[in-house]
Amino acid sequence: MDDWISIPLVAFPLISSMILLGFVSNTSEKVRKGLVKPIRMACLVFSLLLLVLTTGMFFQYFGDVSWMDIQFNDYEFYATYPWIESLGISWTVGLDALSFPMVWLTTLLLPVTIIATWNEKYGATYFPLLLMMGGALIGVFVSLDLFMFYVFWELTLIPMFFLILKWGGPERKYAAQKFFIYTFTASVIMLLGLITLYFLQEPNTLASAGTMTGRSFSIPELIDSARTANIGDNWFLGKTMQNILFVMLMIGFLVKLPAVPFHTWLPDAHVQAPTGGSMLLAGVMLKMGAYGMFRLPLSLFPHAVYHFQLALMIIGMVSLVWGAIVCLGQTNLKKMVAYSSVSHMGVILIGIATMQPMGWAAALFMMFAHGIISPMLFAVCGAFKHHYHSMEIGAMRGMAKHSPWLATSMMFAWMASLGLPLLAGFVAEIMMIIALWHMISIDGWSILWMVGPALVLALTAAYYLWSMQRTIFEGGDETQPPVSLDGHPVPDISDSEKFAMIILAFFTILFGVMPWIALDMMDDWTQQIFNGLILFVGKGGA
Amino acid sequence: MSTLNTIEPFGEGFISALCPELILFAGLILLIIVPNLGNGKFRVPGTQTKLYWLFGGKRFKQTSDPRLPGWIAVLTLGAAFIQTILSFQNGVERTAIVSEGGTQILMVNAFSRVFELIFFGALTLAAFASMNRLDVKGIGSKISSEELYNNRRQGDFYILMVTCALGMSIVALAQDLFVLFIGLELASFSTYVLVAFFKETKSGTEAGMKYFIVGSVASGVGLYGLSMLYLWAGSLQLDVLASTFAQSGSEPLPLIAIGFVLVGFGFKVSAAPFHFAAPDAYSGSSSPVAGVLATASKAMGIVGILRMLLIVAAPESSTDGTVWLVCLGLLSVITMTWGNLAALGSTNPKRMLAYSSVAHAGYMLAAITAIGAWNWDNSLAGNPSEAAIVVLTALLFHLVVLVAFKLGAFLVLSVLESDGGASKLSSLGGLAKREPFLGVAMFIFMISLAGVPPLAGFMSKLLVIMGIVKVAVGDMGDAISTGSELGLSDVHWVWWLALAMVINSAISVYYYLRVVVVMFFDEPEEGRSGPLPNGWQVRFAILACLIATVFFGVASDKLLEICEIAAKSFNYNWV
Amino acid sequence: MAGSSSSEVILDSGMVQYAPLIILLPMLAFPVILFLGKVFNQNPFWKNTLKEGGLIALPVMAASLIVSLLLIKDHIGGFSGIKDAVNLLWINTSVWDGGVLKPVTFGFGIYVDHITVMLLFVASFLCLLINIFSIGYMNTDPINDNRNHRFYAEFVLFCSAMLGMVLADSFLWLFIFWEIMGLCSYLLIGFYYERPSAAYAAKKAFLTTRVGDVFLIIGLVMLWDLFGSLDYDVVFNSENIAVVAAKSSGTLQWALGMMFIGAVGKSAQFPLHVWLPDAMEGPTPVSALIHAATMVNAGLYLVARMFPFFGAESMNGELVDLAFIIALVGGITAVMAAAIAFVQNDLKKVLAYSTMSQLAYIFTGLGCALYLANTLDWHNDSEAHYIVIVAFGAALFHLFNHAMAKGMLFMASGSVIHEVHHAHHHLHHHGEHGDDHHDDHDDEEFDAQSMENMGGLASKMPLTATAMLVGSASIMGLPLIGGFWSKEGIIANAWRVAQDDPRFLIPALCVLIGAGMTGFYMSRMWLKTFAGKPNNEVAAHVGPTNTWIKIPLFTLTFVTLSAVLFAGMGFTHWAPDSEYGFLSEKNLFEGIAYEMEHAFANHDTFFLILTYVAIAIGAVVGPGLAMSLYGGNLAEGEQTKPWMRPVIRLNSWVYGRFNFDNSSIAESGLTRALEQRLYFDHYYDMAMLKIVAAFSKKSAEVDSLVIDGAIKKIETGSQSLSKLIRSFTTGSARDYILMISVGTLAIFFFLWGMA
Repeated sequence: MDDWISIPLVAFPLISSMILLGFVSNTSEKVRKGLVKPIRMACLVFSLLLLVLTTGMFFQYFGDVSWMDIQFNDYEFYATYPWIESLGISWTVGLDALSFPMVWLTTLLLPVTIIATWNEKYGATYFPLLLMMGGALIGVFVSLDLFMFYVFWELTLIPMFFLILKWGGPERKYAAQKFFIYTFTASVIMLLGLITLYFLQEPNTLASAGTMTGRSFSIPELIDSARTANIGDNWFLGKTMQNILFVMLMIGFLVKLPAVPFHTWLPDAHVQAPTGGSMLLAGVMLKMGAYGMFRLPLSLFPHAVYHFQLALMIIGMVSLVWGAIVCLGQTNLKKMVAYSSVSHMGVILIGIATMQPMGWAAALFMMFAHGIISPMLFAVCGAFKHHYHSMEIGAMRGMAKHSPWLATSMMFAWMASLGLPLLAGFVAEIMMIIALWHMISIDGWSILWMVGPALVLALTAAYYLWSMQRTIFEGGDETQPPVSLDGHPVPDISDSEKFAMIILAFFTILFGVMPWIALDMMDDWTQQIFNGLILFVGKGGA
Repeated sequence: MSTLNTIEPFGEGFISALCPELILFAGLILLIIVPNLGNGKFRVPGTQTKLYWLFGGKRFKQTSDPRLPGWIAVLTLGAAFIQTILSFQNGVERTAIVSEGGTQILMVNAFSRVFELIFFGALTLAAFASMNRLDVKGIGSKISSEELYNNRRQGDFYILMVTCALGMSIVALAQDLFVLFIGLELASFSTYVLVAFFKETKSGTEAGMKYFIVGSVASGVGLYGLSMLYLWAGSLQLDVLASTFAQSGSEPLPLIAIGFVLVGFGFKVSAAPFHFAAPDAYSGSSSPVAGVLATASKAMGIVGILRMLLIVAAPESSTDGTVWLVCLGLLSVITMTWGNLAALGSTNPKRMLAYSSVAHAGYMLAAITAIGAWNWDNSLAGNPSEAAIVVLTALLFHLVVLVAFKLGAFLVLSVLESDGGASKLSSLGGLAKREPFLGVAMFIFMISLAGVPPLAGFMSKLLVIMGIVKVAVGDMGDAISTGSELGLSDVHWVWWLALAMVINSAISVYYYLRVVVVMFFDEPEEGRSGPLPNGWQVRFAILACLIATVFFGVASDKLLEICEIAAKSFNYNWV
Repeated sequence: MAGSSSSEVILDSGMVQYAPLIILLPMLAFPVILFLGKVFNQNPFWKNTLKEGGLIALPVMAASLIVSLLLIKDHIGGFSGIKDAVNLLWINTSVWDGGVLKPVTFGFGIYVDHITVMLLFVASFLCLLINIFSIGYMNTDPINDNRNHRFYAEFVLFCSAMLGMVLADSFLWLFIFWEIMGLCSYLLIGFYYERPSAAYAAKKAFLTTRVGDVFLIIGLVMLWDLFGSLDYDVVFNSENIAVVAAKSSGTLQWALGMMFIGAVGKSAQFPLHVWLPDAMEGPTPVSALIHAATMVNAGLYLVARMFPFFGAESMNGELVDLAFIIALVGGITAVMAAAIAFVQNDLKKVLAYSTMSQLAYIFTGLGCALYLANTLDWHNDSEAHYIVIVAFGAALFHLFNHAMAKGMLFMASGSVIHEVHHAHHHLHHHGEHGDDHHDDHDDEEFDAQSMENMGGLASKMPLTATAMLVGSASIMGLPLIGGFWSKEGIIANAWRVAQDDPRFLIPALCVLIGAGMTGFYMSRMWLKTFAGKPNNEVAAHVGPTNTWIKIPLFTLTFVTLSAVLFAGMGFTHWAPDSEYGFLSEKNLFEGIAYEMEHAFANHDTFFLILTYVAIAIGAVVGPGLAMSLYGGNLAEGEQTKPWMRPVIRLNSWVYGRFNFDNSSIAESGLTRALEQRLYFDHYYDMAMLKIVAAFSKKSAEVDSLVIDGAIKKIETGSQSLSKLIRSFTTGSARDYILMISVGTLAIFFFLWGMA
């Protein structure tokens, strides 16, 4: 199968954006202003090309692939090239039902973000950075080599760092550095875990083992050998080592997700980040954590997953509930939305911790649904900030009067995020709850575990509705314009913003009414990994 | 390994073996003679006939050009550098220069070649950049006495550069501790003067002075250690010492002697607590020189340490475990932590880089510790040399690429110095606006230092960590595959060095990023918003560093092979 | 391809294959109206001809009604028990309990049985009528300028959701449409978004119902866990129920109980009733449709749906506690709401509490019916079978009557308010109609909804007055009119059960007393509004209403009056499930005769007495008391329609004869408590603000000070550590040498020790 990933999906956005940046950075301010329009258009076209490509992949237009019935640890568009042979590092890419939805999501959000922030300042450098961000993110999802995975994992930090630093709010310097250092610290610990894993593997057995080290970084081969060991009589690396490595890897992933108590970089980053940055950050970047969990620890260390099931469940519950409670206490609109992301990521963790195919599918779908909804949330926040020069809830009331479009979008996004049926979020939540209950009744857990989700269902509605009451409703009389505008007439959102909102809303509804479009392949993936691995492992091998 | 072929001094093959050094020597001669060529006459005694003997008198126009020494030095060093690279083309065979007694004096092999590569590369770039740093002014016009003075001392500066290179390469070659020490001192003294050479500020002289005093104390201790070794073994030949140590290793005398020698080298690699002079020296000296100190000089120190610990006090020859292991391990952790913490708060970019090079010294010491960690507990009964080679490869790779981004960073600072000082973080303000190229270059160097992929700095750190983990984990892979249950307690404790290392590099991100933030998002200091002083040489050097940093990040396999060969050639008992 | 692989469509014969149209047409009309309205907002064609979307919604709702009627005809005409007519695989995943993976699917389909039929007719019929009414009501009110498209869009979305909930074939989809109805209710209550009170009411309504929904979700999940599915034809299958009963009937009771809490929230029963009165902030058509006739019935529908569990033989006697709780909640709410209704002066608020109270009646009725179904052996014993069917039929029939009557009452009250409002304008703005309505809506001194500003309107708006009269009579249960049949049935069944299980005496007494209270507050409302002298000059200037409003009023008056026909058609014996078929094979007249005889000449003396007692309380005592306190003769020269004259005369006679001073009661603490709605809202708000909000504020601080503070501590700590460390670098060579010697000595001793 010819390689549709390496050049078109990964190299193309990265290199084209770097070329654009290099070209722009050597021009004078005046020239740069003139360049904004062509560069913006170029970035939009490029990102649309990516979207067309991935959509074509979905409809099996490129290559004869099927997203259903992919065996566990089997990949479509698989391609591998030797890179650093002495260390067993290779450029290996591939897609399966786990990674493909995220890749498609990234390619969808790129153009949408560009459109939503069409008039962002310093566009000549802003849009290429977005494109670079997209390339790096896609790289994370397609890479099937630990080294490569880590490289892209860190590479995503750089464009986001600059996005926050140059286009961010007043506290942007602090926020950007905190974001970078916090996540970097976590991921170097993850790196140490990966290297330890690398050297713990049985030497000189894997096909792509390095000439100098005799070990391999190739994820498929590692998963394969791990699987044979795990479903055989002895655990891959032994139970103790599985637990240790599981923890080291999870530190990286949990901070990225982020899960309480590692979440405090997120509000700062989001509140300071520009709208586009927030959209990509919440839309895709957070999902890297969940994706990593599925790709590595859950596939490699089933025993550890069972061993830490309770811990995962606790962290997930705490994130879910704590995030929701803190949301209710926020006065800053964007901060509230940021914490709601924390809460929703808790759903993913719980879904994983149920150790039920349904729960895992729920987690996967939540990654996807939240990836569509949260950008809309942040687009709304951005528009709010942009028009009312304030993020304070209640700084502006009666939006329904002043800016009906913004009010409508806000209402829609908020409702979608609080899990209104027939919108994407609901499917994931209901599935998570059902899976959780099933686990409770099967494995004899305490019913009290249901209290968290139940509480949050109400709390989520509470903080969203409360914020809407104080923004969309109440007043909006011409005689009482928002204080932050000192009397200037209030504009509605621009056409590009409208357009972006409509696209996101469309997909929110599409995947809410017809979830199977994405859900079927996710279900299939979870069933494959269960049939291929977890079923043999049983309930932790006990 | 290829067989050892020995040659007498000035025997056949001598030229080809020591070609780089000879080139340097020739260059040195030229540097001394050429600038003094003039129409000087020599009157034959008793006659009136005067012969032109070209010395002194009124110097020719060409030879009196103050730019000449610089070019000679650069060409010399460059030639040596290229010669070294070429020597890799048709595999480096081990060549020993032996004296009449058959005792080895110098040893040329891939290992030494790689180090020559480092030394010559760093010095070439530094010298090339110095052409702008130590500027030649007002050719053929009226110039101030100050400028005249500057032009006069061009020659001295570049001579010192070359002697420094010569000394260093001798250290890399030496098989006899005495020769090694001579090379070390030759290089050291050149660097003392080079540091003091930077006279725009008083701090230059002061720094040079300090560096000289403290350095001589350190090398005094080292010399004392050498004398004790001689007292103990009756020879300073490395192989003799090694064999003696293998028989009676753990006596107090040799151990303490080795410890003292370590202090001498520890100063060179600026390992805590011997690093104190380094920040002053770096900030006092001109940035290219500081760059040399941070890269080449450090590499020289590492050579010494490797020779002492892995040849003389070789772990395999110590019966009851490697004696210096714990000592070195502690030293490494202290060094890296100290360096990073100190850098965290320092607002002077050069001091910051100095401290970060202290931290890097810590990383390298950790790697060496890992080598020493084998076969003194039985869980690591694999083929030790395999692990050692991985670590050593990583170490060499690190030293090579360090030249690229560390020196590169210093060179960027050197441009700012010519613009009016780089002693404050704020003097980097708005660099990205003033000259995007420099801004981007500095950004790349910084995140490479921080160890962010996909840059050389990441590769090197990754390799070092991999080496350590490899040693720590040993052959647990085999044990596990046979079903035995192993935990973290079965992993050798050097694994925690790796953990300390990753956490340290996480800390380091803080101060590297701070530089980036200032460059990209702060306004320039008042009066410094204009364009930077031009000078293509330094920019060319920076570009070279930049390319190397990125290239060795994404395509490191060729360099890795070279380093692996070099690592294998370090000790013949291996493999 | 992913989608197609999982979605297949089984088409059944008959009308049912078009059933999805009932849901889809309005669902599709929603975006159309919304976007057209946004685009052509000011366009005269849109405004006048299309009535800002009203005339787009109208045909859609008409179509829905027609399809529904055909479907019902299909169903009644023997094509019974349509299950899973359309089946669309929605979610398709799997679970694991140690063995192999068990596939789990959630599909969407259409499910029609008698309960569906009843609700389907009520919903689609009232949706159409209230759509007509809205055109007359909303479009003539200038405050709604440029926002009516929002009203109609949300209106059709609601209708689609309501019909969808009725037709859905699984509890999951019931819940889905249930939530969408909640959304529409939220949006429509907040229709006048600029009013803080509306915003508050909307939020309150959504949150309160959400609390119930949380329990509903949990109930559904528990139910799913018991049956492995939520499809009706799976969970209602008696074999499956038998299996579950054998396994854990207790869990089933818990599951149903949880679902019941959801119903309580949706139908505004105690203790989740607080949102309904505030919901009157919405436009009157909304109150009429959502908060009286349809959405609030969703809870009843859910409980009625539980019948198969109670009816299953295998569960015999297992679920009596739940049945009792349902009846009890109903009884309490019935009395409480009626009592609060005594002191309300806001016309719509009175109706709101009346709604609450009547729904409570239905809950009681359902509770009793479920009790009977659960205890009696009615599968084999035809007598028991009859009892169950009658009990169930009474409840559903009351739902029907109440929906019709209350919808009508709200529309009538709406038209009253409408006209009073206009009259107010004519007086205060000297005919400049429709200018600056905002301050008018904000100004406090005049409240068009307060009955204090009405009185004697019987002559001004005869049709409205008639409609109100008939509606009130139906709610009160005056003999032969609408509610009478069902209400008597409910009371009778309550007492029947009470004979069997003494616990049921509480609800039984409640509904009996409630009948009297209903009589009082409904009469009070009518009299204060229509009888007596105008309370101020505004009321004196009220004029008649327009045609759009008249049509539905007339229709519903007719429907309510002809309740006896429905009774004759056997609506009082509504079968719980098509499995059991209809009871009455009699023709209409036999049926009527039978019902008459059954109602007024019961063989069982106990029930005979009970009937007359109930009639006496509900139709004599309550109204009589009201007449003695309120109303009186019309102003001089005012005439009203002949059929209302006797009422007026009777009222004025009683008023003159028995009037007494009730100020002592009016000042009493109880009255104040009632005026404060028994302090429920007060304490709920307290809990929300003082506990939840405060706690969340605290936690937000903790999050930023403690959790994030720890991170900041690390940063500052390392900074100070760095300062400390750099203080060693003094800058004087002496100290450096010292440090070197220290290091040297350290190494020295260390290695010495090693050796």
